Amino acid sequence: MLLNLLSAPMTNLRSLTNMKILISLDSSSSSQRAIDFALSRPWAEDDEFLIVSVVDVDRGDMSMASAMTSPNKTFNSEAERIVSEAKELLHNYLPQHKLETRCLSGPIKQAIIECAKNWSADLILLGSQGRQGLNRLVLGSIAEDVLRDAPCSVQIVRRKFSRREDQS
Amino acid sequence: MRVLIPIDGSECSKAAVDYIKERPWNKDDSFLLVHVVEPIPVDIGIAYIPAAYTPDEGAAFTQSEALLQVVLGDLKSVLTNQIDTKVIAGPAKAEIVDLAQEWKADLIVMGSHGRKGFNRLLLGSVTEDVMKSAPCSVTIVKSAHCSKSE
Repeated sequence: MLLNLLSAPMTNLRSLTNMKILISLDSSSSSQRAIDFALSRPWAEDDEFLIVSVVDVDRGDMSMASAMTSPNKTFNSEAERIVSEAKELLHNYLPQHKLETRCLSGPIKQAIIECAKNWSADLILLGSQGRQGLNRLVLGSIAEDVLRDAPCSVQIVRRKFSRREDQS
Repeated sequence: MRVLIPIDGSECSKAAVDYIKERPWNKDDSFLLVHVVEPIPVDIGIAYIPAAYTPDEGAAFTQSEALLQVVLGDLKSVLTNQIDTKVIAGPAKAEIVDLAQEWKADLIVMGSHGRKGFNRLLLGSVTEDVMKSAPCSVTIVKSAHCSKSE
């Protein structure tokens, strides 16, 4: 029975040979891992990338202090800095590939999901916040939220990847 | 990179295999195909007896090995990388997470949910559990036959 299922014909949602990859970044070190991963791996010639950073004004209250002291403008320019730095790194690594950037606003999960739908992303690449204990319990993980509602494949990047050749 | 691929024979895990086949990999990337023989759902909540599933005997293991061989052949038709197979017994999530740790996996690639319908409701999604507890990166592959439909 298992074997029958396996050999059953399957239509993919989209092609896997040229994927549209959405990389979601914020200022945390865990999100830096997503870009490090992209910079350490081979990609197909026709893959396209969209680097996004979400300005979540509502979530500003997660860190009260910074939300109260930093106006939205600060958040926005921070997001723009993050995506343009990432784009430059990626462009150096993949000079031939189509790269775009976008700054989104709104609740992080919804913004990423919406963007993935509108752009017809095939893969969302994001660092895991890796919240533990009480924070995890209260806040959950954005990665988990995104996974649940994503219209496409999702990759959670956890460990810091070195850009050198990995010897196993 | 060391890539662990849990296979359960479902269309979802087929999607993960297709992903591996179609995407570019480095020459020195290695893959481990694993199938977890789980206790039948009825056992959960009463008693779980690992001894009942010894890797050397039982139809479940023979079938699992056959399943992995089919997938192995499929992958080897397109990849020249090192690919190994392994059958283990136990609760899927714990076994996959432990194996990822033990084998020093850098990445787990799996379908969006191995279990469907009632079993999923009862047992939860293995993928979600693995994603939460994995010691490494995780790619969850969604495809038409495996997308959210329940």
